Amino acid sequence: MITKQDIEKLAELARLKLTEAEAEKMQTDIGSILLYVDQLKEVHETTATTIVGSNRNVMREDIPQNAGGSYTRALVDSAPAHDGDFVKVKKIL
Amino acid sequence: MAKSIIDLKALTIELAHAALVRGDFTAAELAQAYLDEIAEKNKDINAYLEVFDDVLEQATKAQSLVKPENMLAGIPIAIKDNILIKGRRVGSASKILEGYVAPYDATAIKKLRDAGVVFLGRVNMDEFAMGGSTENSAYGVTRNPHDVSRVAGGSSGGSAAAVSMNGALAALGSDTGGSVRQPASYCGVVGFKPTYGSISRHGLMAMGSSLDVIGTITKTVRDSRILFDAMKGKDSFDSTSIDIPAVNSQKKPIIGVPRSFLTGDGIDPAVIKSFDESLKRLAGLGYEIKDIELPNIKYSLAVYYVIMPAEVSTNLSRFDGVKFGAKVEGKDLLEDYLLTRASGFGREARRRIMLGTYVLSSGYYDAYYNKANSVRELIKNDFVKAFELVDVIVTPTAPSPAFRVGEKVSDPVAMYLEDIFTVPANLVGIPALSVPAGSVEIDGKNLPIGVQFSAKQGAEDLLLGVTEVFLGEIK
Repeated sequence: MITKQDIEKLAELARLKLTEAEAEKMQTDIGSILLYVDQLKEVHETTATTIVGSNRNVMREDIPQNAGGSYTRALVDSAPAHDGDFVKVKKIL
Repeated sequence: MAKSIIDLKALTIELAHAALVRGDFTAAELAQAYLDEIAEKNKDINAYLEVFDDVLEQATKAQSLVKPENMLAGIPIAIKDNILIKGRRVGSASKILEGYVAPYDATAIKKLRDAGVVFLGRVNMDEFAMGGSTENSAYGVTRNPHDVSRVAGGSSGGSAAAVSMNGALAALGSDTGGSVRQPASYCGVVGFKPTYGSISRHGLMAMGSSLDVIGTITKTVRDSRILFDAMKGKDSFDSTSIDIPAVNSQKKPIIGVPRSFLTGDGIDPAVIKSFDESLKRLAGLGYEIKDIELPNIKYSLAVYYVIMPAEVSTNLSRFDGVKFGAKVEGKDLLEDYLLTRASGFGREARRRIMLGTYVLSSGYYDAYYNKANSVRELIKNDFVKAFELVDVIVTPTAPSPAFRVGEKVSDPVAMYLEDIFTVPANLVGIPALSVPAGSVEIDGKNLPIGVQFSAKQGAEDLLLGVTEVFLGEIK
């Protein structure tokens, strides 16, 4: 069973501020969803192949596809706070 | 004047193309007819979030491309609000992207633009494509044109409603767990989710990256084929994109029915009745129908509600008030994040972010995320085996016709169960489409019911061919 403390911890990890009422509703909702997905515990037929899975990473060389600076303006302008070619954030340290 | 000469209800991409080539009307007259229809109907339906201000200019420009070989020149279509059109507002119907303008075209958009498509506007959806009713949109629910007290379905509800109300000839949507097929079923139109990777995801806002694919909403299967052919293909901007080889088979496809999956008590009797009629119609058309077993398909929804939120919580971590959209100021950077995300994301988005964070967290990762991936492999193996015996699998699209606005909002699991028949195709990556298969009369309104056809990866040609025959579009 997911506890209120679990919800608070998750909200912190997920960077979401929840009100008391939201946290309570979240506890009920996530509890009922986890109860539903718990049926996966019935499945025991899992082999090495199914654990590793059939998907593989597709790698490519990291080569720029566009001329330098061609998207700078549009991307920087998308940021809520910016100055020249820089995105502005608050001081971290 | 345009409106009086163009019968939008009967129009398809194919017919509009032929009329444009003959000169029955111009691309601008066609676009104006759709603008008039949208102006009249959108206030009740809320399919469009924005109608673009340059539609007639686009149409005038497209006129020069109108030629017998350019099927899509001058064809007006609607675009889901999670697909990027350069220079246009786009926001996944979320407050967190308030004010965001797309800096580039999605690959699918670029291909359609080059083909001369006219983009009418951006249409409503559940926030970040999460939901089955568009009730999770920050901009209000989209109502079903067949009964405005009911939902249009979701998450591509705006796309399906726009086509169903004759407010677009076709629409693009995205399908992560049934988001193109389920609203198509509710609105009585064709919803096609192609093979995973067959259309580039570049410029489609990511929800569940191992599941997402761009799909089409159209009036006919032949129109779906035209749009798919225009958008498909490997793209250097999406490493999961693939080319679909042309397969030409003369053999009459065999139809499979996973009977034991269709006996759950949550299925509306009208859906079962319509499904049985569809099977009779297929038999009447000379198809061999076989019962098949998909032993692990019953776990699909549980697998989906672990893998999808895990991918959602990862993909939505980029929305933090620093890089795009809205920002709420706090006392420090951490509080900026906390406040921006708390006010920008709606209830369902927050729920799935929390759930995803949980199933990926240390101590639960093996029990949930790894276990779900493992069962996903078992489901894939079931389908591989089934497709050795049959070519096409048929199920209902959704367990019920369109439900009432507000009916399921307070119970997330009840809402999730609407995806039961559509989710497996996303887990397995196979193409699937929903086509109209009848209707049921409730409270004096005829509510459409869809039937879903699926085939193995890359078997689009065969899948579309069978459904074209099923609907009588070809012999």
